Amino acid sequence: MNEGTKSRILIVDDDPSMRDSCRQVLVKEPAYSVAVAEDGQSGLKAMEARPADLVFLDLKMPGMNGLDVLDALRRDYPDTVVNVITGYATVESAVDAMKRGAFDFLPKPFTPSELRIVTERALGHLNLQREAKRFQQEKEQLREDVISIVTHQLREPVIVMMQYLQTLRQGYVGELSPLAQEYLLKAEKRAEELLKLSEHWLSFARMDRTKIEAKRMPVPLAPLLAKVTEQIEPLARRKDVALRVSASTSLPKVLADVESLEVVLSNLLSNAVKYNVEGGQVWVTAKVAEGGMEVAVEDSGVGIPEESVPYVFEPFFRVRDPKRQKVHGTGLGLSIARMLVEAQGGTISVKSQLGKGTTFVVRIPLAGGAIDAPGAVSNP
Amino acid sequence: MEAKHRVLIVDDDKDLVELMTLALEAEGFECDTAYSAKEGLERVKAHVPDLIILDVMMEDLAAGFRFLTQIRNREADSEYAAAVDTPILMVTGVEEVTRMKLKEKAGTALLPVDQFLSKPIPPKVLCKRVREMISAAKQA
Repeated sequence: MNEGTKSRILIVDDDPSMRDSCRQVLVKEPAYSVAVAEDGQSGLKAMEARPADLVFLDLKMPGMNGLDVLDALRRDYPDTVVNVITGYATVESAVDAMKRGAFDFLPKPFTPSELRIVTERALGHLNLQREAKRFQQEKEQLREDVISIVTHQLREPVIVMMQYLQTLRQGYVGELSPLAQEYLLKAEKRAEELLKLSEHWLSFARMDRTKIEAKRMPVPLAPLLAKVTEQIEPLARRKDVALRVSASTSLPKVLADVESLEVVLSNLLSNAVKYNVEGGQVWVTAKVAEGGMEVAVEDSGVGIPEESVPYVFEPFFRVRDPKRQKVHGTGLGLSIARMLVEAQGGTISVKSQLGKGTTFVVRIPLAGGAIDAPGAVSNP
Repeated sequence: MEAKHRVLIVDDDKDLVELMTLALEAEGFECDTAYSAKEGLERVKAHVPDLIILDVMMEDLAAGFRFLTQIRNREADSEYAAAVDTPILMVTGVEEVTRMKLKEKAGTALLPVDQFLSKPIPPKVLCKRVREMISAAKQA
């Protein structure tokens, strides 16, 4: 049998006859490769050189305490299974070891067949664990792939369809009546919704909390707000909505995943413009508050009916309101925003008054460090 | 009469190529077409255009990028030396759903194209952009 495919077992025991007899029993099985160590220190060294799949650990040894060795193994080699051998067969020490992450225990004295059974049980557990992990990874990869492929395949025909509609509407194939042009424009808008839906759906499906969490780093807020504002500016001009941003460049940095935070802010800002009235306003303010940075996006728009407020962050929820009919959306924007904010350890909340406007408040943890004196810089 | 400006369209979607050709020809451009990066390179070798419209994903995911590295190869013995400064307008339908950030990278050393547009592109926008890019290149 190939050394690489064998299950590696390490026996850590100060009693030479114990080490030897265990080894004798286990090496009879061709699928096992067995190493021994005489105390905790050399056991950990052996692990460093070549991690074992299974460790038999004597709890009572001179030098490093068996339980401390157990803790070190659990910390540094979480995938290794540890079985403890208890010479003074007290239930307490075994229970204590199990609580600290040992898989099983073997009270001395034991027979060769008992040793074999315990070994098989531990390795069986290990295999199961590995299979489960691999299966989970494969499943996730497959999910990502399917989502990406479906999205791309869905978009291609829609893009071509829109290109046809635009070419017709802009008169490249002959003059059209105003009504025909209007109808083509409407068809185009609906096709565009389909593209937006695919984008939202994809980012919703791709969202992975742990990945977002891992990507967090100190981010200065003012430049990010400036960037997002610049993106929304053309939309605001078309709707005759004024964007007023007030974020001091001396605000402390936030601990965030910059891409996710950008999506959140751009989502809130574009909503504030889309659901606004002509000649309306949007105020964006950032300040340090209890529990982190507080970014508020306030609009003078149509507002949300009271009964709908609790549901605005739910996926696919859309406010039923005749004034909103002309704004088409996917119903995913705010739920994406909430998931992204929460993945970054923050919160998002909403206050609204029908006919007056809506305020969304995002709280994001600070990156820590000194807070400079505020000196507000306005960016109209 | 001034000679027509020649635009090479490199895109694997035949419908899109036809629509772009229709609009550009209506606005006085002459069009040449290729349906893969490989074919595009052959067209460039045969006749250097005034501008190239380049799709990203064609015969494979990176076909457009490969085309780009060949065209922009500044070594003296490059087969495409005559086209090394030809303006390139990159077009794609996947900008919004991939994380490639082509829009941000366009015009930098990372992505040596002159301009970038997301599909679908209203034909009037396309023609205007092509006209501006060609006249900017002629003035340079």
